[in-house]
Amino acid sequence: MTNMIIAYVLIAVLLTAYGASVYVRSRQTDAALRALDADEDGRP
Amino acid sequence: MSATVLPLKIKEEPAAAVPVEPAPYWRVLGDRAAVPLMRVLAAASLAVIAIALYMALFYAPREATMGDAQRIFYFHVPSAWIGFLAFGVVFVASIMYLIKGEARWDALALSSAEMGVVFTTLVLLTGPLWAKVAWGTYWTWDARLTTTLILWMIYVGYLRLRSVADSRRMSRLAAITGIIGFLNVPLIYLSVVWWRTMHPTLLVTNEGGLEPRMTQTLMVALLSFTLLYGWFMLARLRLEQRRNQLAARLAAREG
Repeated sequence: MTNMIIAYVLIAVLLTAYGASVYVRSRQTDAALRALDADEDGRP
Repeated sequence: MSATVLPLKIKEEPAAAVPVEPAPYWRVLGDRAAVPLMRVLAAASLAVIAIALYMALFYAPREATMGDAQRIFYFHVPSAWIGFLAFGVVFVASIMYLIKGEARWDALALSSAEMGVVFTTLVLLTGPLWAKVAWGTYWTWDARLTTTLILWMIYVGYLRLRSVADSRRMSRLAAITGIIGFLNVPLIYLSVVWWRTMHPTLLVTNEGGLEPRMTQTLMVALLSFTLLYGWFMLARLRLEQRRNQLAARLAAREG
């Protein structure tokens, strides 16, 4: 029972962490692209 | 003499279409297609994972010898399946990149390699937890376990290679690594046939093998992880495309 719970928790944690990392990296890249757009348009 | 002043009408030229977004690598990655598709895949995968979890914990019968530890199998096998699928995508995309030299194939290979490593990590974490109950030890240098560990190490090396330098030469080198690495997958699959191994062979047949409720649970879990792979893959590939856009724009500014 304990091993099963550990396995399920590990799966949930790793998949959530990976999904979150993709989300965070996407947000950072989008922010950098937006900053570049603003810079090229002369906006502050 | 009178001059007739003709009403002068200057036809306004439409403003030059400035592409806000460069064309996506594939049409499915464009905002109009990808955003709704990602929402559908996210909802579907989370719903099917919830069903699979319920089936694994309450619907599938308790295995007589291993007890609840056997339930690890319902997510261990789908993790292995997605790992193989992901590395299969790396294999195909790497071949396409070497033939065509298009950045989109390189991005597809990199995105799928990352997913493959995540799911193979799950295989290598959940397998020993099951093995401790079934075999009395977390790890043994069994043919299937060893070949799976080698596969994981090859693709961790692949990702490391990609993180060291981002150049066309490195992409080609990574593509060759991605192709060679995949040759290990049939070896893993057939290892239980070719060598004496402790790892069980999966039997999903009408005669013997898994109990029908166990088979149904496994199939739902396989579907849930396949949907999850689709969702994550779409998000990861869009990220890679945007990163390449950013790198190209920054290089253009500096150049």
